[in-house]
Amino acid sequence: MKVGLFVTCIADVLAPDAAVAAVRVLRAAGHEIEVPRDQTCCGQPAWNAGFADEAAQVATTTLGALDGAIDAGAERIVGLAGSCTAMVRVFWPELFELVGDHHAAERAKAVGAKLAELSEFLASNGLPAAARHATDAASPRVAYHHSCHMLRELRIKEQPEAVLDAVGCERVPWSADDRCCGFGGTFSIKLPETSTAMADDKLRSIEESGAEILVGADTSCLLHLSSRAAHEGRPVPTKHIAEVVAESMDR
Amino acid sequence: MTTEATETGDRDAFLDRLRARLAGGVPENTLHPLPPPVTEVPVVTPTNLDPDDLPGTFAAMATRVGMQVHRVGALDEVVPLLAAMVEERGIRRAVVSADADARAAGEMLEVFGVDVKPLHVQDAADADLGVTGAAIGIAATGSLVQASAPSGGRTASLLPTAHVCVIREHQLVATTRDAIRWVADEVESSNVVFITGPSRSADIEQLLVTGVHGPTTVDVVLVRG
Amino acid sequence: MKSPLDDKTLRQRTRIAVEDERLRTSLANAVDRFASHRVARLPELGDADALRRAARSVRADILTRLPELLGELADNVQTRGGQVCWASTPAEANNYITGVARRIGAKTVVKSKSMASEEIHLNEALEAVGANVVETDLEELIIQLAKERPSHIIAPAVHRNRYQVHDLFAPLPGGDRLEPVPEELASFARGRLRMEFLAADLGISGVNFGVAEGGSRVLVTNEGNGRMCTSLPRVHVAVMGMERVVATWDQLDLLLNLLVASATGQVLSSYTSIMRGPRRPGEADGPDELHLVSLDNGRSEILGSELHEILACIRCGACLNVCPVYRQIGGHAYGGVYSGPVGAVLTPLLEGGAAHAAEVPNASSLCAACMDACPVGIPLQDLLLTLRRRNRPSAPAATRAGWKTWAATWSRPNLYRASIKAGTWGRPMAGLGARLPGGRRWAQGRTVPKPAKRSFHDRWEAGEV
Repeated sequence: MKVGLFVTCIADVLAPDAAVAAVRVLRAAGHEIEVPRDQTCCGQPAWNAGFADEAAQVATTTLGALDGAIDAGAERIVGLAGSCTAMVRVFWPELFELVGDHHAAERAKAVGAKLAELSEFLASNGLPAAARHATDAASPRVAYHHSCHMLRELRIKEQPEAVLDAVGCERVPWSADDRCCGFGGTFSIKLPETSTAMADDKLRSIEESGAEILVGADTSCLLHLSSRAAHEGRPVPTKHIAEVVAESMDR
Repeated sequence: MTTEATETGDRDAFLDRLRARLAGGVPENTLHPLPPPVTEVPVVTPTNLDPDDLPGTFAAMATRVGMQVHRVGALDEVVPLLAAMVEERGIRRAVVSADADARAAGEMLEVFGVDVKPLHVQDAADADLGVTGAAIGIAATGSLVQASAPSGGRTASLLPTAHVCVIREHQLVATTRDAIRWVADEVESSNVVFITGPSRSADIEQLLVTGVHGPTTVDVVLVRG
Repeated sequence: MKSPLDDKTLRQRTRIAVEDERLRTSLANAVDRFASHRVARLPELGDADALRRAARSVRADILTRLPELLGELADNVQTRGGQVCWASTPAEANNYITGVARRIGAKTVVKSKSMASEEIHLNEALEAVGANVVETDLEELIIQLAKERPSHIIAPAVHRNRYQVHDLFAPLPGGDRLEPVPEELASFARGRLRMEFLAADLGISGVNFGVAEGGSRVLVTNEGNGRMCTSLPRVHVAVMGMERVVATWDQLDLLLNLLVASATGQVLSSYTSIMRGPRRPGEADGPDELHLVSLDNGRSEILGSELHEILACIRCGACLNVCPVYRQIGGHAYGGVYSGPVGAVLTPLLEGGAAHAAEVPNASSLCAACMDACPVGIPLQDLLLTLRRRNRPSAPAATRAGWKTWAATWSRPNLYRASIKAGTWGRPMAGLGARLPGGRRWAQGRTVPKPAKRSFHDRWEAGEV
């Protein structure tokens, strides 16, 4: 089907390879990709910090871009991050009502109804055949991080697990897998010691699990954890779930 | 000695302030809307409850919560149990509550040379053992329900180091709901307590210690007849 | 009494906490224990989610009927021989209670845990009129000796280990031969406090639930000190936050079960005391006088506001036990009487006069684990966001200007692209210095991710994807 890509600002700037991988995977699964030009950011950083007006200002622009993609024929919008998908689907209607833009709130609900996070989309619409592999001795041992927005706002838990299983990853259990990584947007710079302590907690658990790679659906979490690990001299390889699926197409 | 005025402070000012705050209604949460209003409060019916076997459920739960359960057919079968307890634990002084079953057990204890007194605070504080009956028992939680009026006080099950409670199977009710409704009607007592285990604390490094202020052990004699 | 909220900022307090490795280990053990017991127990109650939804509705209904229910409770308490005090402020509560203490010539006061009494600094008020106040909850005793505030809602001394407890007990009479063994320490406390219970003139407790239709107070405890404080002294005063009422016995049943399951995962606590009135003729024990102090202390300001739902809290502590932030910083770092997610909401509301109270809602990464755990469905994340929005006008000028600039730039696609191309956002992230306020702080404990030379949009528009 024709799909609009909600790139997310963090993937755009800090992890474009993940976005490129996502496009590759979606095309291989038979979809036509359109990237709305005018999308910038969903506004979440400002929303979480209590700056609703500023968040709404930026969100309005991205709303127009995603809205426009649907008008131009996209059947679905696919989001490349759980937190941004949650911002649109769960929080945008509230945000726009709060700033008094009821019309935008209604449009946001319509966009939210057509928006899926990447692994959610792949789980319902199918993976590319080339990506499917059985799990075997050569399978990468993967620690999957349930980011907070995915788990608690969107309730997307089984889908990314199913995707990783279907592409032949060995998912290792780890004790802190559903605990917040400590990023929390501006939280990471308001209370940096607490934020890094939270990251350390997760990183210890990953080390103990014997996983080779840390995988997630949220670049922000992955970057937070990997940059902490690198600083502590114990780097952890991380991959966005899109990259894991894309790589499995080459196996 | 009580004061004449039983209400102090400005009730009207206090409550008027609340009324004013509520007058405009309560803001609605559209992100996480309230569930529909509840007409009948749901009854908590734990999965471990076997409604056809209240004694069995009670015995299992009372054990689970750390009490020792002894099932007997009739009250006189308690005698060897009490004898063993007196010897093993060196029981010399006991207090008994006003319940008939407690007084009967007290008479048995006297035969074993225990100094048995009716419930008074100082005697309870000095006692090794407190013997009580129960008003009812809660099967789903293994709880003993003691009411202060029929027992003649509260501290027989609180101050001594050990507590023995005699309860009959027909006194058992199924759930905490049943017990609380019983309490609602129990207007004679100043106090009702649900005892669900020995006194305990996990306050030092989360390590469980029993017998912090209340009894260290609770033995329940569950009498069929 | 000076509050930690006056002294240090949230950042300072959290920094101190996070550097204490022993604290973090103790916290992790404690909260994991509580949380796993809760997870095991809740399904045993039946359909736990349905019960929690019902509980949220029930608490919502209670709060909208609060004036009526408080009146009914007060009337029924008096009908059954008790006395009531309406205390809008800490001063009114303390004046009443010290008045009772003076009238009866109280020398020793035994206290069973009451967070509401911590709010009003009751102990200091009683000591000022010459009473010796003894905290009898083992953990409250420990923090009283350490001269600290509670660090967890149901386990106030969770931050103290056996060696620290031993050091606090050793200077007390009879404590010189104590070993740092938990059973011995508890036994010592038992012996010492036993004497106080029997000698005390006045017993003070909190209230878990006030039952309006029965004129009764419910106390949920494990140690037995709650029963001692409310049965042995001649006079008992219960201090109750005004929102802790239920209308009916049936509501009590639901909330009691959810409270215990959520707090410790027990079947029921060792003692569920239902106090109906003063001692009756023929009863060997029990207080001659029973007093109930209904405390407002800022709660009425919350009622009917956007933060209204926080008043539904039944003080189970489940939110603390699942909070990834609490796990790292413990209760003292929040600065107020209440900690964890519920404390992050209540502190600016109840202790707003303190210098650093308003920023406590920032002690959260907004992960929403607390909301999932709350047995009465309080939308804690929404409340934290509301408080952050309330703080916006008083944010530093640089912060407000920063967000304004960000919004002006990032709401325009071409300016957004220019900003990332020019690396205005990228430069601090490349570690060349803190151009943006966040850069330096990020770089303190983390490497700085390098922005890609070409953004995704660059590559897409160049036809490379």
